[in-house]
Amino acid sequence: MRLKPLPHPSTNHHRHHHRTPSSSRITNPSRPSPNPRSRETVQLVHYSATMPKEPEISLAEKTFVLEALKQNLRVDGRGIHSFREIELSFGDDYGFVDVRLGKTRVLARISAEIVKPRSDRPFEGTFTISTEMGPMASPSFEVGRPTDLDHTLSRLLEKSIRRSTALDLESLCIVTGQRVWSLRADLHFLSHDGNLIDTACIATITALAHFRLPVITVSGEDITIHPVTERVPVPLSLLHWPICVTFSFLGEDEDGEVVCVLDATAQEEALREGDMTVTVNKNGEVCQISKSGGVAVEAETLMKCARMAAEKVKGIDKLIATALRDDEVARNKGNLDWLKEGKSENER
Amino acid sequence: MTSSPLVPEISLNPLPQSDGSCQYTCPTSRTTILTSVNGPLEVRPKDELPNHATIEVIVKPGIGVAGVRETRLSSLIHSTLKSLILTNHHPRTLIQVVAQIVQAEDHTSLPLLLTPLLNCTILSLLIAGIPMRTVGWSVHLAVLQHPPKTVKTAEGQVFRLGRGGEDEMETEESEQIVVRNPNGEILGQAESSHTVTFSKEGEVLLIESMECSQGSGGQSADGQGWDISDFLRLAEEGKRICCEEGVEIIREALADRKVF
Repeated sequence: MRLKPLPHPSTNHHRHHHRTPSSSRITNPSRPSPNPRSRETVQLVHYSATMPKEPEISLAEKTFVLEALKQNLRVDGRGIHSFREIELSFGDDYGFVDVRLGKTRVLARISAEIVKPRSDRPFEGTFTISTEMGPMASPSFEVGRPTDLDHTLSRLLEKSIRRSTALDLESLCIVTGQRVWSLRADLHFLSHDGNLIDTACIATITALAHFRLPVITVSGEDITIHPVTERVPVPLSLLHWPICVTFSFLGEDEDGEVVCVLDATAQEEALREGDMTVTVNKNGEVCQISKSGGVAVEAETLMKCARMAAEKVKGIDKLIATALRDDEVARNKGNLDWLKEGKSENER
Repeated sequence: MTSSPLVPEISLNPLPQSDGSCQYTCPTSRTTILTSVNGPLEVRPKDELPNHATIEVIVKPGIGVAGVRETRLSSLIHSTLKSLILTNHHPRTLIQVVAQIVQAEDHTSLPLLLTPLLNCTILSLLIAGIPMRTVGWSVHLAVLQHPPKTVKTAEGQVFRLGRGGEDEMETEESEQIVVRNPNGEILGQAESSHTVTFSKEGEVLLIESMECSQGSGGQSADGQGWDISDFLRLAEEGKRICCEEGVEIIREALADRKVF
């Protein structure tokens, strides 16, 4: 039997706002409340039911970052428009890539299986991207309870990669209406230090470009899948490589204009007032632009951002292509030994 | 580090954001696991224990979403950790373990994943500075009728386990072949598979055995079972591996960190 604590006389006048936890938990914390103090109480109850929050940025830290930005300086010494170094490493099998951007780290793995196609699209294979964040990336992410970032990320990847038809789904068809390849990209977020969107996009595209489908032969009703040791597997037909570039808007420069920063860290993301993601391929074709609210930005800035994104993507595209070629060379070097031992030459 | 072919590749604290993390690659089965430990954290009110810390183990599969297999793995790890962690040191808190299967030969095989998961978890708990009663180590042993065919094994990975032999001289055939941390192909030729976990003091923490019918890759049983005295000898050997070699591996891995 639990004793109900007696309400403190000083809190008596707004007791009805936070007496029962159940009623306060369903209360929307953003709902205007007549008493500012009672609103704070509601928020506290609301958060105690969830996982620990990210540590909040202190005022001193905030001032430091914003003042530094005014002088075109960033805390980690980078230029305003420069990315952290992108490190790509591949695993033993095809379609597995480990992407690091500073302290941010994302793994992507592509897997394929043969399924029956959807009846309304008998010529097309399927491709799904699974982005589930867990507490490994940051204690504030909870299993089975997607955060806003989770939704934004899966939506953006969907728009950038799936809807821009980067992957030719018709090439995944084996027997019309009977059998198609079903591809799946599993993204694992290991460490979160900002810019998960760009990292996840680079990881997915690199893994897709690295993946090889086993060769199949169809004779009548039978489908034979040839193992890697028997026939050289074939790469996917990727039409282009859409790559996301996220701009974060925070602080002001000397002229009082909003500063846009590339590849923001977690600290900068916590301080930003708005963000915009532009997805471009190396030919400079914009696949997707998303700016959902936040600080108002001049149309001219937006144009500048898009142009800059196209420039950045050329570099990233080149980096991915080089990494893929190096891995291919390393794999082919001891080809037969590698096949026998089931392990690759390239060490991380 | 000793360069024995049986010593796993261990990288400590690869994830800067968590309290303790570890990446572990089994040298023979090439299974790679990454675990992170956070704690003591704030606990959800419904999971709060009045005089113990709550341990949460989340196993994330490499492919697809977590299902029955991952739940089973996490419950096995949870019960092992419960007897290792001094939960009464941090009452009303949460110790959260997240294990990610990074790479595996067979993402569906429970015995191939369990040993690396357990060893990696224990190492990351040590790094995170979670108070523990003792440390443990796990080894996966596969029992075969014949030496593994067509598979290259590392030096010292295969050993023989004589049967009794006190009353009469036994022939070679009565010996059992045991393979340490086998890969999927060896497991496919095995009669039975045993994952044994012992603490530093030699206490049994977890024994997860299963019977395999040959050629099924550890997926089904053929009802042969195994002899209990054979099993005890096997467990004795497993205990030696865990208590001597396992503890040595932990000690060497943590040698230049002031954790012990």
